[in-house]
Amino acid sequence: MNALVVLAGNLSGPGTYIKIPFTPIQISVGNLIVIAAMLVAFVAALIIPFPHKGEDQ
Amino acid sequence: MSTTKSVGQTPSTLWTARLRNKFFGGLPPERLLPDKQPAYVASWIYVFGVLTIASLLIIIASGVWLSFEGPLWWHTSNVGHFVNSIHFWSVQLFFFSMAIHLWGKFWMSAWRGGRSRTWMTGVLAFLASIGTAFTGYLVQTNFDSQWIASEAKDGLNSVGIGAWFNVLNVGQALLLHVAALPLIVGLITIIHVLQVRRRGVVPPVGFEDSSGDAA
Repeated sequence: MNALVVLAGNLSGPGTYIKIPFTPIQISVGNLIVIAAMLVAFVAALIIPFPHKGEDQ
Repeated sequence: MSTTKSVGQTPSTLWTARLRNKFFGGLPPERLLPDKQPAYVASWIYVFGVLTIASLLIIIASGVWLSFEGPLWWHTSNVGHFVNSIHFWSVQLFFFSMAIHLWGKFWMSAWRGGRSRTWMTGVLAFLASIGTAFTGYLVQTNFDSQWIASEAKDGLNSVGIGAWFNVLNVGQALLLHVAALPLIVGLITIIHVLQVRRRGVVPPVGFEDSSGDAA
């Protein structure tokens, strides 16, 4: 449970934000992780073969 | 001159007959509930649409449970915390899978072959889902919802709709979230799926015939 809390960060405190220098762009680490995970899932869905049940050789 | 038509005179002109012919003409049972799909559907990218629907079903089920028990229950009891979390994380999975579904369909130009209605109902479902999620954040009844409401108030006032959609009015946000918006999202989703069934899954670019179906 402690590992999960550490992984998630302190959810009771203020969020951690990343600011791209010289731009007005600022994003929370949580949102950045979710967007990265979506990109990974999208690419994985395109390249991982789909199992074919009962397919001929 | 008489515009009145008796029942049974010309059945095909009755609105019920026209509606029936229109619906079942485009959606015969074997197309409504197919047992086979084209070979190109065998890809993980096609899983995210149904994953979105699965998430929506869990959201609705957990939301109905929350509505029966109320805020005090989901803030103070263990089961309430659990169901509240299921509701929240199902929404995260819903948008996660819907965005990937959107990317996949966008990059394969899924509106091709007379599928513009399928695409547009998907757009409407996305927009309605954003409104539903937003009102959901407003009715959490915690400090987070207060913060979101006070910040969103200024944003909505700045675009001139603050008097019509007052995010500080919890009653309005709650009714929109549990009644109007889920109904709209549900109906649009059903229409979206029926459009997919009606026109079929779009073939890959370069593999369609002149009618838009797989060559």
